[in-house]
Amino acid sequence: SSRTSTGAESAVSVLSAGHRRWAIRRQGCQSSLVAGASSSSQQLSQQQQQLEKPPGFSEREAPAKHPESTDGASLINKRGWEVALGPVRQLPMNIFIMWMAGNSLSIFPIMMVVMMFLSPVRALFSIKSTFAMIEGEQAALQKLAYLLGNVAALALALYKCNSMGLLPTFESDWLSFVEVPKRQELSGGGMLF
Amino acid sequence: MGINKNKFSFCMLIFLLFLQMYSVLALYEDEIGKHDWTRQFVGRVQHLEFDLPAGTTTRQRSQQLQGGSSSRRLFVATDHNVLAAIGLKSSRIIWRHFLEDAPVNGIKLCDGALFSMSNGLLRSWSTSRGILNYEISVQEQLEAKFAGSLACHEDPDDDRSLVFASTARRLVAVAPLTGALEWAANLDAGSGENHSEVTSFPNPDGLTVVTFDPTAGKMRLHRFGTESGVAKRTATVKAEWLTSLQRCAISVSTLACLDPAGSIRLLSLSSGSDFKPLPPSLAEQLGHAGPWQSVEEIGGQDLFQLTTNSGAVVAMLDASLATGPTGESLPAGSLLRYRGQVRFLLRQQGDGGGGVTLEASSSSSLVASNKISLSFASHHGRVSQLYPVTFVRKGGSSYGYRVVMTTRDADLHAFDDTGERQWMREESLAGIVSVEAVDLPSADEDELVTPGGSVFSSFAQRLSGQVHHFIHVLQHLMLCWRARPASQADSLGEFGYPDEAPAPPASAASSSGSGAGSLIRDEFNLHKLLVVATKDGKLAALDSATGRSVWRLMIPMPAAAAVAEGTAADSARTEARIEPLADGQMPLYIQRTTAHFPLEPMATVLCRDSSTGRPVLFSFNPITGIGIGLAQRLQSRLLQALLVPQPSHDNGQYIRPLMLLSDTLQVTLYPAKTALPHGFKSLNLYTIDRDNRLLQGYRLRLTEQQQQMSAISTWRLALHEPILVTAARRPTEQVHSVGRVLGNRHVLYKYLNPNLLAVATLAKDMVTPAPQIGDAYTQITIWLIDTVSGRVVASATHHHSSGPVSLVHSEHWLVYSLWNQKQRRFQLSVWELFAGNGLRDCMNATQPIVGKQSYILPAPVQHLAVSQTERGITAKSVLLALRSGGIMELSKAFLDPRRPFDMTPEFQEEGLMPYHPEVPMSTQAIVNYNQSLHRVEGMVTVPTGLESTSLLFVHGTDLFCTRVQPSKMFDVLKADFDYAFIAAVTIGMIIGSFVTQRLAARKALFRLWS
Repeated sequence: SSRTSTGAESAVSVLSAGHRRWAIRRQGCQSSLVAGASSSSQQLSQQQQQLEKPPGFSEREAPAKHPESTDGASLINKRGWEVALGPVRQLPMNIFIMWMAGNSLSIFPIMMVVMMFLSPVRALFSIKSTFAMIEGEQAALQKLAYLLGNVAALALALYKCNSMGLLPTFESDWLSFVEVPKRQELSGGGMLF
Repeated sequence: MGINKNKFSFCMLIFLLFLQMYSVLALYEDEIGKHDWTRQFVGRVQHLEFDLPAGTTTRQRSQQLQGGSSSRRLFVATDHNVLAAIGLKSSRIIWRHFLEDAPVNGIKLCDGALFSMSNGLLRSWSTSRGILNYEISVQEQLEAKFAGSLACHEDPDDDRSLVFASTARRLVAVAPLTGALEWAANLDAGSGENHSEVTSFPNPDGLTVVTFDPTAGKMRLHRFGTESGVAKRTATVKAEWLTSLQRCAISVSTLACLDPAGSIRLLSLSSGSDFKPLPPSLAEQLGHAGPWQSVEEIGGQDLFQLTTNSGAVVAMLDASLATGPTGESLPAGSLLRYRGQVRFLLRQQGDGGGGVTLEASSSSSLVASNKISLSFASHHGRVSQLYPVTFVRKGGSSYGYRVVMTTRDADLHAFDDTGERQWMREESLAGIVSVEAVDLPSADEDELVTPGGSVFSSFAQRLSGQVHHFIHVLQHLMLCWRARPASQADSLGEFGYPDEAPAPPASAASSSGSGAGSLIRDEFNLHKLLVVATKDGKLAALDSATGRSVWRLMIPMPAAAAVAEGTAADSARTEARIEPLADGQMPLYIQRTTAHFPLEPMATVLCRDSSTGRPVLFSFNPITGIGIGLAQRLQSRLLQALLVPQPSHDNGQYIRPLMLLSDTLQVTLYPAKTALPHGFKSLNLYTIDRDNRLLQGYRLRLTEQQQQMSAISTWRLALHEPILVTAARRPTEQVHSVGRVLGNRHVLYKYLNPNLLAVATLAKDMVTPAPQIGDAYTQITIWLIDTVSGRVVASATHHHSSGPVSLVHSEHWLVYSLWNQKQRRFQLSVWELFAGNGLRDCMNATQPIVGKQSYILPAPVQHLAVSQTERGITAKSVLLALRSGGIMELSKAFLDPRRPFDMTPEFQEEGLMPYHPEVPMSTQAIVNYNQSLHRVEGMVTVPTGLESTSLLFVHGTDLFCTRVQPSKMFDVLKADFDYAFIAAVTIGMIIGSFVTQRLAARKALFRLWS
């Protein structure tokens, strides 16, 4: 029941937005008229009312279709998939950006890598609120897809780091932590005295 | 005409401008001498001539003497084969020439030019500038070792003078001015050509030449006139008892020789055909019966000085006269010299040196007979040679004289006729054999507390340390205050050689006043004290910042009581002195550093007593130069000694024990009370026996009493080839990284065995066919030996190569230079030892992977060294002492066996340079710019407190000290760093951020309101 109510609310908000848009348009029209001639504004409104209806215009209301009852779930699913596949959709774009950035260690590639890291991490941190938006029967799958998409983005960022040589994956990266072996035997000498 | 002149001057101007440009190629002018210093020496003086033969009777000479007193100079030939002119007033070197590696047989001033004889070559030099006038080869074919003799015949009646130069086989007479050969004569030296000796002396008619063949025991006399090379008289004299002409003295008409029993035999040069013994009547008359120790010619008129233990005799020994010799007796320890009409009698006071009295007396009324005392510090030892010179004072009314003398430590002193010392040259520093750098005491409080105590003991220690420190500072201030007027007074000469006045022995070695003031560690520990030991048994400390001697000290002889038990008579006969151990070694050991503040630092020198050959140990404070205890003579001979790198922490002494291995394989610790070092599985020692071409390793172990230590021989390695040089890693060397990162980001682990010893040996080359001209080729083999197990880790042979080889081993690499006989060029070869690619391989590696590569060095090299830094992070530089006198700093990256022929991006990533056979030599890499250093004997690098910087000290005939920065000064801001700008920007940013914050807040408030 809560799901339906949230759907209705959103529909209302769309409608109200339509009203306001229209109202603005009318207001704009009025103001332009005002700017043209203040005295003739009333005449004009009267003319408007007297104007003929355009051909094909009927006063009758259009037969209202009500798809919510049957297609509400599919909309929700569709919307859910949109949200869930958002990260995956970004991947090709990211791959292209990374390919363009190259493997040199300069400020722009580094910034890009950081951005690439930040966006999936941020998404993962706010995963709860994102999951709240996903509903429907396929919610679990969608959530998984969303998660996997983000993880893939992270993996991509990691791969980029690796190919840039920023990951300590080689022995050489740990070389400075290797202690010089301690001297076990003391030996010394030289030419015979 | 005028245009031409203008053009010419314009060209000249351009030329001069270019000259100016050249002088600033390498270094800014104001940087010269800022971080470096040079001191130039000549070495121990062996022959000395004053620029004008003094006291001669010729009138024109005395006129010259009167006129030219301002530019008077003395010419010296030294044991470093240096010929030099030294200003008699300024003590500066006016000119200096390094002759070939053959002893200078003599120098003579003749007809206004200086003549030198060495290596069978007679050379004439201009006295004013030291320009070589001409050179004459006395003998046609060159021999390995030349004996030579030089004499000048000046006839006062006619102006014809002749220079006689002779080797053992040939005599030439040369006109001094033109160099024209007047005549030549062959001398019959006998069969033992290479060992034959020659001596000569001018007589009124010409010259007497005596050659001696020690193998046949035959002596030949030749008397020549000035006109022709036909000998007026030749005679062969048998002298089988004589070992060398060194034991003889020749004069106008007599040859006096010392036989092995210590008696004098005389030979008349004009008529004699056999040696006659010294008439016993003379010895009786003089109160000395011998045995005689030495015989010397002193005055030029058949005057000889004969010395015994108890005294000396001066005798006129003319073997040809029927009347027999006459003479007079002198007190013990005197030296007599005649110069013209003035007779100098020099007498040493006491045994330890410190002062002599000089009596000048004359038959002429022009010289007032007087007695002066020449005083010098006791660390110079006794007088070893005296060179007086007389001259006519201005106006010609009276004679004056100067005395130049060398002391046992090889220093050169000049005194005037009031007994006041004019100058002193520290020629002893030309004979440095070992160097150790000592950190100056610091005021760092962390070092006042020693770790490992309880809280209360630490606190008490801290308090007492602070009190000590405070007292020390107070004393120091007092010293400074007291020394202030003194330091202003003793600014002598170019280096201000402050030589302390004679003082009681206890304080004689203390630092001079001006020195004490600056002996504090600086911020980056760049200022150190270089403690040096010279081959004459002298210790000195040089200030690394200025090169000044801070203190000097003669190693004292051990107490006489120890001698008495030995062969007292033998030791008394030959004068006992301190000398280096075999192979010229005189190791210095820093046993306690300055880091343990209330305890004073301690250094020990190991040397030898020349009379008994027994090793002598002497400990001293390296900062003050005051002996700690007495010198100690060891009862048994030593094979080797090993200084334990860590101090033993027992009873709070912090002394690094010195382990002495005796020839009976007993091991003793010095000082005796120190504990054994901990933390080692085994203690090992190795010895290199150059004579037997043998390397031997010993392991030290405790005997059952747990008190005594002994050594067992663990390995021996016979190389069967003459050992040229050896090199080992410095025990204190720090290695920072255990591996090398490759281009593919894998690691090549270094083979870091701290016990490796590199040995270079020479053998006959059996592989390369001999050249058509000259000797067969030789080959050099380099061995890398593990000194614990005796295993040869790696070896390689360079065919058709010969020395001089110089080796340097550091971290995991080895660099050496050698001469390629076939290609006729110097080569620099490098080995790098790697353990493998995996860390586990690295830890367990027994056999390294050796990478080798050789490079051509376009200049002859004398010595190699490597820069040392505190943590080993900085890249290493190899320092090459070139024969040309430069010290070149060469980055180790150039000497890399992995430099590839084909460059790949991977190699580029790694930072490797493509292989190029020649080592680049740029003038900017010469760290001593135009201050050429000759006869470099050794280079010492010392880490400083700055990781980027290491101190380099070069010794030889010249001393040089500078800072070396292989990776530039990465840890120090540049001198032109704009502090003000950076500070202004930072402050501006801070203020800006505050202001914008305030503005932003206001704007936000306004927005809310609107």
